[in-house]
Amino acid sequence: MEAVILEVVGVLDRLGHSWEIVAVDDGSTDATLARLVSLRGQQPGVRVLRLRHNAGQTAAVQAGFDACRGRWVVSMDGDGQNDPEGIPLLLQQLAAGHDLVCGWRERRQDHLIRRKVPSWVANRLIGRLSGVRIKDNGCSLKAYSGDLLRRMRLYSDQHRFIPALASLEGARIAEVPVPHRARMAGVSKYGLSRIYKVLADVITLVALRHAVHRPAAVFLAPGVVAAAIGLAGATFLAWAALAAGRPLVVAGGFGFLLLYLAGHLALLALVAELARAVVPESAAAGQGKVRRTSEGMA
Amino acid sequence: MSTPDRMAGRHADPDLSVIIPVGMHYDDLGEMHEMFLAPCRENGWDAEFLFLVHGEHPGLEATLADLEGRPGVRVVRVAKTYDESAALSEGFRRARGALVATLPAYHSVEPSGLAPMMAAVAEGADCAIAVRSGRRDPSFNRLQSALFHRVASWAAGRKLRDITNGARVMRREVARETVLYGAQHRYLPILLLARGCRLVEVEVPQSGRERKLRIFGPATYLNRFVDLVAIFFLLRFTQRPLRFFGAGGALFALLGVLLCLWLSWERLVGGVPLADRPALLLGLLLIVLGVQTASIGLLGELVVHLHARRGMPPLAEEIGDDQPAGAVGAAGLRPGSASPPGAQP
Repeated sequence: MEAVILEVVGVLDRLGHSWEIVAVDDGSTDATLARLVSLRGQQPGVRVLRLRHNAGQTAAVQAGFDACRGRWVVSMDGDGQNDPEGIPLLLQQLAAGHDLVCGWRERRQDHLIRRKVPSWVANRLIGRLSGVRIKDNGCSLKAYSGDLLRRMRLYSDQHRFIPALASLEGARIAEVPVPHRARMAGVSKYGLSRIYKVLADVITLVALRHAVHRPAAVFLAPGVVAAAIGLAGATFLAWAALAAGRPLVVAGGFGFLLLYLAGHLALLALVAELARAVVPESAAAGQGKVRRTSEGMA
Repeated sequence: MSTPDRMAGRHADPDLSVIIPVGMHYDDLGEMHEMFLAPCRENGWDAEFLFLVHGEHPGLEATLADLEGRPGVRVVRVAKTYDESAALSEGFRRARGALVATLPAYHSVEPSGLAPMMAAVAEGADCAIAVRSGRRDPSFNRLQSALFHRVASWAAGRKLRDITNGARVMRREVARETVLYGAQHRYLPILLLARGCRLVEVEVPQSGRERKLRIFGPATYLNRFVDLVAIFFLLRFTQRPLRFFGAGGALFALLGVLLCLWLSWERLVGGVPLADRPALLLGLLLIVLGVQTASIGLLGELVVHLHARRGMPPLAEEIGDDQPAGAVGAAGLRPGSASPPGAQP
């Protein structure tokens, strides 16, 4: 951890900008924290945050975003898998006018079956469904404009979807290859429950993409589809039943159920519109695109 | 915060704020004040007492007037519609002590329990809750309490022995960030745990006067159960409702789809006509139920997303300048938003 920070200090000093480093301690052992604190004593630009509890990666990232004050912000892992030499590459793209620059681990040093394959599938899925085609959503090495960060608020496990969420805010996104090293520790697997969680989150993301701007449409569109299927199906079943001289119970039930669903979705659409309307503009997500000021991008 | 303020000659904050919400049940408040003032005097703590009176108590006016006349006592009459949670929140907002204690307005724990609870917080806990030891109240009380705590511990994901007891001590920062509504005052320890607070249980002798048999009406038991379910949901899914609703919705929809597929198979291969098969309606009903459940989850996600950047307590604490390296404890931490150290030029 200290080695990583010192490496970053070396790279930042070379760049010639003023800088701060915010280390976020995600409920690690006290020894790690004590080492960070002593490092802070030697390096005046280093700040140390401790998460209230082991709240996960998203909370750690957001805590860092809350505390940092830079015009440009870079996020990276503390386990040494992100090479700090990638930082200048990202900053170049920020300087070129992008709001979010994602690192792409082109030659990824990870296990093929356990990490690379599931990650490839997840990235394709997220890219397709969210409309933001990024080859590597999972790379922590990213650079942001401060304007963008102050518009975003991550929660749950949203660190996986930063590019998609940034695009909700109207960010201009770029992706550049960055060097990657084998991680020193930590193994995580894609278990069944994790697949379920990611899937639920992706569905949320797709819905949010539309719901933030037109909340009612997200529920009304499937409602209309349900109504259409209900009417068409009921007509067909009624025709079949009449032809065979059977009672119309099933045809009636079919039509009723699907129209009932359409009605339910229509009511939810109204509540969704209501929920969106009562949030003040300043607090609402996805409102107002990222603004570019003349001194914003040097 | 308190040390520099004192040096600057501003009004010194007390060491301890004692918050006592006064609602339906109360014992002799004047006597309670004296009893709990005794350990404060003994240990030299500068303590303020806040009585938060909610509801209408015409018989209590004389006592309150007497209390108001005592030094270090504030009586706050909150609006009639306030419940205990709202009264406590108001107390948290007004408390100035470095430590904040809450006590029930009736005899529950011995005053001697205050010192070990405060010590636990001084040693690094965010909140200490009293566990009444040597209980002498009716065994029916203890039986229902044991059952309740079974369920509550399961909801909290950690064994808890006495959460409904109102005697608690916490750091001021924790109290300040706590806003309660409805029945949440009863489940405060679980809520604090979910927020990542370090919670310790401290064994405290039960007050010898707590002898009342507590048998409630069926509505009360039903309410407690409903509250627990609500808390359980809030703890796990506040930020991700679709994971809760989606699981149920997917299950229903899957069953419905399987049933409908089977019926279609029979229709296409076996030639069994669909038009008089009620099973088709069951399959369809399950799909409709699944979509309904999931859509409510999505609505939840939308609400959460729209409100994500409002009123969240800080996620992390910044380790401050005033703290020597190595001596990292709760007392040396401050919220991340508070003045960060100077950045490198």
